[in-house]
Formats: sequence, structure tokens, C-alpha cells
Amino acid sequence: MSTLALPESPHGLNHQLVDELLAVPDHGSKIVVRAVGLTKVYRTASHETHALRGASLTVKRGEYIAIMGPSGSGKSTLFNLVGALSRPTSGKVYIDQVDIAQLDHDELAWLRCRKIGYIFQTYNLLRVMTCLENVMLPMAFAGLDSDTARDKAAWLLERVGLGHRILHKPTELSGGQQQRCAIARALANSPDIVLADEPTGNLDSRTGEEMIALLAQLQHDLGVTVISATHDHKMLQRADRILWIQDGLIVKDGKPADLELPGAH
Amino acid sequence: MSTTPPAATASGLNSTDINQVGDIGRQPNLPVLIAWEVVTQGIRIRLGRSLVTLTSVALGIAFLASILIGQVVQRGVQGERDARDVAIRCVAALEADLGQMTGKRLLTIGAPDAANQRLLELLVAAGAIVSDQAQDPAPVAATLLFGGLGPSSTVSGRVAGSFTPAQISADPVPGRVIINFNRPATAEELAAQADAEYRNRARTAWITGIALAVTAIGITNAMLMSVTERFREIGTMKCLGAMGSFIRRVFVIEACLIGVAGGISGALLGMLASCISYGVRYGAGMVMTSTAWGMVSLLLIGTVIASVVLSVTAAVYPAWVAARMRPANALRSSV
Ligand SMILES: Nc1ncnc2c1ncn2[C@@H]1O[C@H](COP(=O)(O)OP(=O)(O)OP(=O)(O)O)[C@@H](O)[C@H]1O
Ligand SMILES: [Mg+2]
Repeated sequence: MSTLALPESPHGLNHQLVDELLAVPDHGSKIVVRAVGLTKVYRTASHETHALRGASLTVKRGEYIAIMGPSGSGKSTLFNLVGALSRPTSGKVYIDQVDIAQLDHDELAWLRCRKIGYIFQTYNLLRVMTCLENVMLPMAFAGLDSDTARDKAAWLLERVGLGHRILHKPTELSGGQQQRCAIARALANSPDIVLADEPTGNLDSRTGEEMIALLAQLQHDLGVTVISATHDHKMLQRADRILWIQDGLIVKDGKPADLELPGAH
Repeated sequence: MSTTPPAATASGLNSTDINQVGDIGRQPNLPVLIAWEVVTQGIRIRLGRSLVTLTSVALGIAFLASILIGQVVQRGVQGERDARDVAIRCVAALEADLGQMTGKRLLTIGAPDAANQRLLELLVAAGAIVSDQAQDPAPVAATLLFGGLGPSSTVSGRVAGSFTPAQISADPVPGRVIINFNRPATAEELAAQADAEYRNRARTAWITGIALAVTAIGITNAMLMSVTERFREIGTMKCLGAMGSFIRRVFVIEACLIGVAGGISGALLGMLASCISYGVRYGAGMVMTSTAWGMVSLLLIGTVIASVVLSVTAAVYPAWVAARMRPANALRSSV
């Protein structure tokens, strides 16, 4: 655990304030995400693709969940629906008991800002900004004043092991470092849920392993719920639960040890 | 201690206050400053790309400005040349009547128009002494009568009956040679003049319209590209909690900046281009003296305003689309 301990602060961090900002909200409910009967049909001029055909899932607060399955099975589609990034054709998604279909554009922005942190295969950092500014941006959207945001962003970047690179632009960083920055950014507003789509997809095996370990650590330390779509079997050792998805349906759901997964060793 | 922050304390910090179960709050409206920073940083980092957009806008505006200002310069030069032609013919007529101008005293009555002003200049250049002081004791060779609305393209000859008794009685030496440049225009001439003016105005409107359309299309294309190629960035910002209004504001601010910078540089470039091309054809001095610079400066301001208006309107639609896009679609687009 102490590998990620906070080094001597060069930025005059207000630790107490940062700790308060990072504090896990003490919610009554244990269910943080519930999806019921999700379907998604992509219509193009020539044909329809049924990417999801009735997927349901329930995620408890603080779980580390891996969504696995073959390519084209609907993992990214599920990621987008659960993350309120697109609308299901039918079915419902509840985040903290709230049916997100009922929310307007600005309420969705609020939800994406504070309840969910996103991590992508391609990092999706804003290349016009430094790491620090990337991590500060969601806090600016949440209305946090910039001094507090800077403190917290520096703290987060140190937590993910990027304390020495906070003023670098993403283009000056390795893939693993960029993904660390993206993880720090996902945690900026202390979300309940961190959603990741193939977070290790563009990284070599060792760096991928580091990323998985980092996510597991943050999940453990900060009590955040992690839902990650992945191909990466290294995730099996860390995840609390695996959802195996095939042809748009969740066909297996259980602890890694209990599942007979194709290709797992 | 810092690896495991304590559970929620009873702090007054709003980020924990709002995070209640089942409660969806409102995103705060961000100060414009943040959008401004995003814009200026974006422009700085994408300097090359921004310059391309800026150049497209500037070239469009330069085209518009050169067309509009060119018309003003052309009108000025044309008027000046017409006036000189008329003046040269008038001098020839006077010389035919009175002999060589050298040393001749001429009295003027009435206000000379621009063409007549040229005439006076030419007469002075030919050695005549021109004065509008009737009390001048020295004898005068002729009295030149100016004024009225009629065109001065014809010298109507010696004392015609077409001026008022008051003007004649103002002449201190009745019976002297009086040259009347105050010929009223005939009905046909007035009609022809109105017709020419109408056709000229229609032509100006047509050319201005075409120039405006070409410029608008160029600017729309530039702004459309600069928004659509950033759908991914927009999708990312929406994932981080940016509201549609913030996205729109970013692009409107950016369009304003590009509109102002492109407008100013384009307008100056266009003015320079048309002045140089007319200067080469008719001489720099001719352009300098005959152009209505007041009108030119109005057009400069007008084209800068047009640049801002066109840039912002061109950016509003794609920015609106971007702001309403589902983040998943915005992130998928890979332009
Ligand atoms: N925007 C879209 N338009 C049309 N079809 C789509 C779209 N997005 C996904 N699909 C289709 O939906 C199906 C599921 O895609 P999805 O991206 O969810 O798969 P995935 O499990 O994430 O695959 P991978 O592991 O390769 O990332 C695929 O057949 C894909 O072609
Ligand atoms: Mg995918």
C-alpha cells in the first residue's frame, strides 16, 4: 500500500482539504448501478446491428467488475449505456436509483461530472492541456475553485505515480503515463463509479498489469466502484466479479474462480 | 494517511453535500474565463491549424474588401479623370475665345464643383490669375459663372440669358465677357444620368452580393472543419461534465477571435491589393488624391464586422450540433 504514499508535497497541498474532497460519500444504498433489459440496435442504411439484446446487471458499491467477452460482443456498447454516453433502444439504467433516461442534457452533464469517471482505451486526454490541467478540468466543470482543484489534481497525480510529470503535455508522455493521467482525471470529482473501456488495450502486458493493479488499489483505498470492459485476462486475478458477455447477452456472472471462461488459464 | 482518506466528515464542502442518493444537481454555469482559457490554449497549441482557419477567413475577407474598396477607388479615379477631361476641353474653349491664358485675370462667381475646380487649377497652371474678389481693381479678361446643378461638361459660351438678374447686377462691369458654366441639365440628360446611376447601383449590389456569398462559403467551410475535426475533444469534455452551453461558448469565443483577427488582416490586405492594382494602372498619386478615404475606412470597419458576424454564424450551427451530440457518437467520430 505504501508504494503509493504521498511524497513530500512540493505544491503546498492542503492535505486535510484534499482528504475531505476525496472522502467517499456515505450512501445508504449498496446498489450503485442497475441496468434492466438493455437493448441497443445500431441502424445504418443497409442493416441493423443488435449490439445488445437484453442485458441486465447490478453492481454493488465498491465492487471491481470486469466485463469480458469476444470482440464485437457488445462490451463498449454496454459501457456507453451504463456511462450515460448514449441511449439504449430499450431498457433502463439506474445510477444511484436515478433513471438516467429521465435526465435532461444539463443533468446528464452533472451526472457525468460527479458520479462517473471515464477511462478509455485511447486515453482521450485533451492534448492542448498539461496533465495537471486535464485533471483540473472536471473539477472546473463541477465549479471547484482553481486553487483547491490544483491541490487536489496534484495530489491525485502523485497517487497515480505521475507526480513528477504534472506539467507535461500528454503528447510528451508514454502510453502508460497517459493512462495514469486519465485515471487521475477519472477520479477528479470523487466519483462513485469508474468506468473503463479496454484501459489496457493500447498498453504492453507489463504496463497493462500496472494499470490493473493501480485500479484495484484505488478501488480498495477510495472505495470507488470500478467497471471495466476488457479483453485482458490479467484482470481476472483482480476483479471481484466477471460478467461474460456474448452476442449482446450476459451469459455468465460470477467470481473469477467460479467461472469457466474460454481462454482463461 | 494519504492513501486512505477518511470517510466523509461533516465538512461544509459542497461536493459532498450534493452527492446525496437519488439527487441530481445542476451543473454550475462556468465563468467565461474558463472557456476563454480553453480557447486560447487551443489556439496556441494548434497554432498551425488555427492559422489555416484564420487564413481562410482572412482571404475571404480580403476578397470582399478588395472588391468593395476597389469599387470606391475606381469611382474616385473615374470621377477625377472625367473632371480632368472636361477641364481640358473647357480650357481649350476659353483659349479659343480669349487667346493665350498667360497673365489673363479671371473673375469667378458662384461655387465651382469638383470638375470646375480642376478647370481652375488648369487655368492657373496655364498662367491665368483667378480670383473670386469682384472688388479686385485690375481689369479682368472674363467672368466665369459657376454653380447650379447642371453638369459642366459643356462651355455654353458667351453671356447666355440663363443667369439671374441678381448675378448680373453683382457683376461690377456689365457687358464684359462672361462665360457661363452653369448650364442646367436637360430632361434627357437627367434621365440618362439616373439610368446610369441605377445600373451602377445594381452592378455594385450584384458584385457585393457575390463577393459576400463567396466569403461566407469560405468562412463556413473553415469553421465547419475546425468544429467537426474536434468532435472527439468535445465528446471527451462532455464526459468530464461540460454542459452544452460551455461547448457552444468555446466555439463562439473562438469564432469571434478568428473573425476579428481574420477580418482586420483580411480587410487591410484587400485594401492594399486594390490600391496597388489601381495605383499601378493610374498612378499612386492619382489614387491617393481621388479616392474617398472616408468611405474606404467605413468599408474597412464594415468588412471586419462582416468577418465577425460571418465567422460566428458559421460556427453556431456546428457548435450547436456538437453541444447536443451524445458523447458516445462524438467520441466515435475520427476526423
Ligand atoms: N456506432 C455504431 N454503429 C453501428 N454499429 C455499431 C456501432 N457501435 C458498435 N456497433 C456494432 O455493435 C456490435 C458491438 O460492438 P461493441 O463495440 O459494443 O463491441 P465490443 O465488445 O466492445 O468489441 P471490442 O472488444 O472489439 O471492442 C458490433 O457488431 C459493432 O459492429
Ligand atoms: Mg470495445
